[in-house]
Amino acid sequence: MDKTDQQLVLEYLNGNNDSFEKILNRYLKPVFNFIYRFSGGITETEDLTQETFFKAWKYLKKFDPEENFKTWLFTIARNTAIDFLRKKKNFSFSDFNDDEGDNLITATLFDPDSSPIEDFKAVEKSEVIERLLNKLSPKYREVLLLHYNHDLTFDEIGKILKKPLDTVKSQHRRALIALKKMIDAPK
Amino acid sequence: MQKNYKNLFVNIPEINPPSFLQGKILDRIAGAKMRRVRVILTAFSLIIVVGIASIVPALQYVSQSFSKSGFYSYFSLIFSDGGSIVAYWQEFLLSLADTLPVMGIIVLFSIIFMVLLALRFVAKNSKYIHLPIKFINQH
Repeated sequence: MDKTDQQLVLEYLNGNNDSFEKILNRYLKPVFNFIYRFSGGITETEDLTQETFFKAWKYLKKFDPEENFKTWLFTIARNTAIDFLRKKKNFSFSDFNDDEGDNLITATLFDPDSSPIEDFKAVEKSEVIERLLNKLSPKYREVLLLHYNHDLTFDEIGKILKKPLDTVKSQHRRALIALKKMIDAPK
Repeated sequence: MQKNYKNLFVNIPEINPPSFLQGKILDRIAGAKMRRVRVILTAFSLIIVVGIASIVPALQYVSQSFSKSGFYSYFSLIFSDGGSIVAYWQEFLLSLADTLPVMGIIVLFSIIFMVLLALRFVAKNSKYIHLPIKFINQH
């Protein structure tokens, strides 16, 4: 049976160097993909992934074994990507503001079940969904990616984004509305 | 419906990171480890040099403290007046303890202990000084 992340971290801290390599094997692809999608497909994904794992190694002693390692690692990945994008100056923090012109009433009234299945079948092609995702605001994109692509719960996402559970749920709902609008928009 | 959204994301192709990336990350960590070990080695080498240089003055200080405190005078009674020592051994031991330069002895042994510890660390890790980075992870 595979060892848990916590077990591997403890083993590494107790001097077993192979354990960090196992952690790296387990998370290299998910972290790489998350950074790539989150940052909109930048060419520096490789460097940012490297930086993420280096920081994780550097601060591993500070990791609380009671916490979820995946959440902790994705928090580092997200912060690393944000720092880089901010330095590149093609990233605005207003993209992450909660009330950025979105209609709260629409968000709460929206029923995702009303969307026709056919629309989804049309966009289930990878290149279409990829294009739509890139059009989404980063704050929406990250919630959708973390939830649907990396199987994190809203609670775990809240820890990564440092936002309350309700805010994450509302952000998720608005992300779905935005996505639905794009899907429904005339081609 | 949530399932439909899930399906959308399932179709996003997973990108494989470049094959060299894992090695690159491990090499960077190994490099950082090596730098850390080298810094500690330098610090410990300095401790050894300073420690050895301090042993002679510390020894002189302890020796002078023994003379000044009258420890030698009391101690020499063992050879000159053994009978009295046996009769008043408790008082004699107290006098010896009283004249013992405790501070000097603590300082001297602390220096020796530190030097020995530093020597042990340097001996154990000296192999890393000239070792190529790629081998560090295996240790």
